Amino acid sequence: MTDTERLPRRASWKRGAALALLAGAVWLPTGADAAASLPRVLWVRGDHTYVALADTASVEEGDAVEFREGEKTVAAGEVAGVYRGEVALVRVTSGSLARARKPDRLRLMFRRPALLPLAAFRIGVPSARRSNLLFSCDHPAPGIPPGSSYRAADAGARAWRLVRDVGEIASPASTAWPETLVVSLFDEAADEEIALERGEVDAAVFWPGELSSRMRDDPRWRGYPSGTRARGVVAMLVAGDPSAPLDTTVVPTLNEQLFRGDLAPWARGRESATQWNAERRAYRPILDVDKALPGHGWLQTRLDQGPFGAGYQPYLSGVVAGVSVARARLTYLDAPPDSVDPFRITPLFTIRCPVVVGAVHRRRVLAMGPDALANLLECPRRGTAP
Amino acid sequence: MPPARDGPVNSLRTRLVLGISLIAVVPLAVAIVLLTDRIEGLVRAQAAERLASALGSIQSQLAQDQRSAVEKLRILARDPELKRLYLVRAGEGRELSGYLAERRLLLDYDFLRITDPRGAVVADAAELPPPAGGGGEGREGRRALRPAAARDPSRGVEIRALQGDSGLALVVSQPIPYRNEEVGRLEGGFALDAEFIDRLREQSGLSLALRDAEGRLAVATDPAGRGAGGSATLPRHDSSVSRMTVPLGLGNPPYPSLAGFASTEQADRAVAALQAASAVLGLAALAIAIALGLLWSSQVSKPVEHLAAASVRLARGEWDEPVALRGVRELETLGAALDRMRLDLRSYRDRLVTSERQAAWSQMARKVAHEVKNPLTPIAISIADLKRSYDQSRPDFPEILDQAVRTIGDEVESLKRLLQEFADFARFPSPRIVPCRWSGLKADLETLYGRETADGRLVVSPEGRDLVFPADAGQLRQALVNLVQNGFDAAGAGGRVTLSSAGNASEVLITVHDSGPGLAPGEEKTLFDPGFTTKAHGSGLGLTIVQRIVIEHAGSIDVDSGPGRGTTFRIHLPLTRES
Repeated sequence: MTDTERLPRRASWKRGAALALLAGAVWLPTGADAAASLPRVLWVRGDHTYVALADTASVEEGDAVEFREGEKTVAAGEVAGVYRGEVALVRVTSGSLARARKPDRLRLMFRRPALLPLAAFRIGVPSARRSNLLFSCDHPAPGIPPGSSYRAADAGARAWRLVRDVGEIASPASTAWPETLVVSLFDEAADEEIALERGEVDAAVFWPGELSSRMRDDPRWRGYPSGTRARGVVAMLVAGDPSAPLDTTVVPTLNEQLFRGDLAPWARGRESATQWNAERRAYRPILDVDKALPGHGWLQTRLDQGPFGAGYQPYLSGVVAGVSVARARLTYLDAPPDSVDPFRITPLFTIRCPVVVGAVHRRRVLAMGPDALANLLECPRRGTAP
Repeated sequence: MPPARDGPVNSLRTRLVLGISLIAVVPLAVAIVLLTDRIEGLVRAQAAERLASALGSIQSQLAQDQRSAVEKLRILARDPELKRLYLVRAGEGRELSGYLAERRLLLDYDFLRITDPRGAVVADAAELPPPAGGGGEGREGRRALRPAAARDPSRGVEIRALQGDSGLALVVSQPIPYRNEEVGRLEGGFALDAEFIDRLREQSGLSLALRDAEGRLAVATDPAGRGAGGSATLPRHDSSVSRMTVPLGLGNPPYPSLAGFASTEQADRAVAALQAASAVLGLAALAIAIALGLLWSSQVSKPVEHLAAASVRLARGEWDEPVALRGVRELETLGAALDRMRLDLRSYRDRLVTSERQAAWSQMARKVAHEVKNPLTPIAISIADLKRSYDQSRPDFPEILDQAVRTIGDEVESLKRLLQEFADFARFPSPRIVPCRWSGLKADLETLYGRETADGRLVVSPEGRDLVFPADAGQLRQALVNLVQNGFDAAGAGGRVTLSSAGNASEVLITVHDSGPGLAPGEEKTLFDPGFTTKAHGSGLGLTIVQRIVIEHAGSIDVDSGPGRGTTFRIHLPLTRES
């Protein structure tokens, strides 16, 4: 029988207090005092302990935690989850905090355990039959992570097996990489999500906008990393005058509404380009989707329906009044972002793919680098080598 | 009117009436028959067309329903939520069943379930009641049904029996793909049950019967139109129901079939009423035609009847009444011609009578002169002998005188007798007809010829029964005496005469046969002419008198004779006589 069942009123009081503390911890001004910059226990309930974090980037799931009273360790546990990077749920695995008089005075020591070598890591990627709105990948090929010694031991139509050379010298970075990468190609994003849920793959790479809302909202996968692909830029350009300055106010909305925010907004040289465009009195773009894009019909329909058509005014607010309207083409450039000159066209996004992984393997994925996983699938154009 | 005149006139009138009636009625009857036949054919054709149209519409609708069911299920089988519930939370069958129950109503299925690759049911929408307020069009709140197990799960569309219900189920099956493999099958579809067939009945207005592929009755509407029932009977096989069966292209061959029944009872009643009205109309037309026929035939036949009567009068020699016909021009012309002919005939007859009378008088004068001259010759010879003997003073003059006187006396006597016969012939009286018995006549003849009867020269055959017939017994006796006497004369001394009689319902036959040599060829033609005789001293009036007596009795006489066969006279006398 739990405490909640036995003493509902007391438990309710405790829960309310914990939530108040949690809210206070989240919303208190950061500059309240120096003590607030240290992690501290907010609330203890059984073997679950809620901890306010001082550094949002320092604690991750799986980190080991020691609760010390002076020099004495009274309990130890493991970070089971991190909420908004500010509150961590710690599961106590040894010792107990029940006897601690002032848990909030306990000193917390976080330690990140080293990743153990892994024999195989399974990852799902889109297959050739699963094109996205921007480009198709008709002839997918294994993308060997740069700097690694993987080789494709088996590259079938449904799965690839990338094996690392035995003699490679272990390093902290290379420890994250498994001996064998098993890459499964999925024809449907739903199958890939289900495989992830069923534990048939350890991580899954999705095309921008593919991942379902259910997965995005599921606490088990929330906070997944994303990896930027080495090739691919979404850009606007005016026919006949690719370098015509265009207003890019539309960019965030377009990304949110069409790609669920998966695309990475163009950043390189953005300020100088924006300034340059402003000086040139940017045109208000009316977007025509490039018909070469696999999803041009759907994209065009959404653009015509949404706040991107000719009737949409708000994003012009604040921009220089009396700007001219220009018909711009929304297109995809199969090129490395580095090769794009922002002064000649108007780049909007780079291709960023969600790399969904569970808590168990999140550190490893982060260690391997989501970009490397997002590029495990290369999409060479027909007739070119990967 | 004599009977001989009634037959043809009545026949003509009857035929005219009949002909006019037929002319009036036959086309009407033919038109009515053709019209009713045409209307009946049209009614049947319309019923068949309505059946075909309704069944075709049902076929199309069901085919569309099948396509729609297949498409909907194909989409549903790829629904990530379904796959997630099935693959990730396979242990929580109730949640999956709830999902299926909700989708069943949303997609308007009667049943929806998931089976694993082995065919075992993993989740079934029927496990949960339909959610309140949910559901597709027309199926809200309808309980989920269960079809029988699949016979061939690989078939995309299959017709199966319903578990626990009468009727069939159209089962659409779609694989649930996962990572390019079939991890289960989604089965959905709709029931072809009593409710289904009742809905079709309401749409089409037909009574319907659904049979499975083997021809077994699965479900049928109530023939009384009260709705459907699995145990309902089919409409009876009678002429008031048009029926048509079409295959339902559902599932895979062999297909179930749908039979439609359209009642033509109302149309049949209308046709029967039309036929009855036509019959009444026909009878009325027949009555009118008969009346008109009688009228017209009377107009046509009356002049013909007058013509026929005039013809009969002419044939009977009544040529005094003129022939006058009015009304029809052709008949008037014919009547005028007949009247001219009547006048001509009368003129010819008068002239012929005068001529015959003159000829008869001439003949009679020649005969009398001849007969008178015959005795005069011996008289003249006797007188010449007497003169010569007297002048010669012959010694035997007295003997010669005596002889001459006897001869002259005989001849004078012969002349007297001859003149008496002619006088008798000339003043021959009309017969006095009374009932006459043959036995009396026979007795008179046997008395008259008692000696000849006794020595067998006259044989009178005994009659079977005593005949009584109208006749003048005296004249008839005289005729028979003449014939018997002629027979004796012809047969000679050794000959024999046979007299016999016979009778039937209409006449009496009296036969006189002699065993004489018979007549020479051609003699029978002039046998009854006055003056004909084969005897040396006959007047030639005997057979003429016999013929005259027979004719006066409205009878007839004929003769049968030939060399060596003797001669037979047959007298035919009628048993009745008109006054």
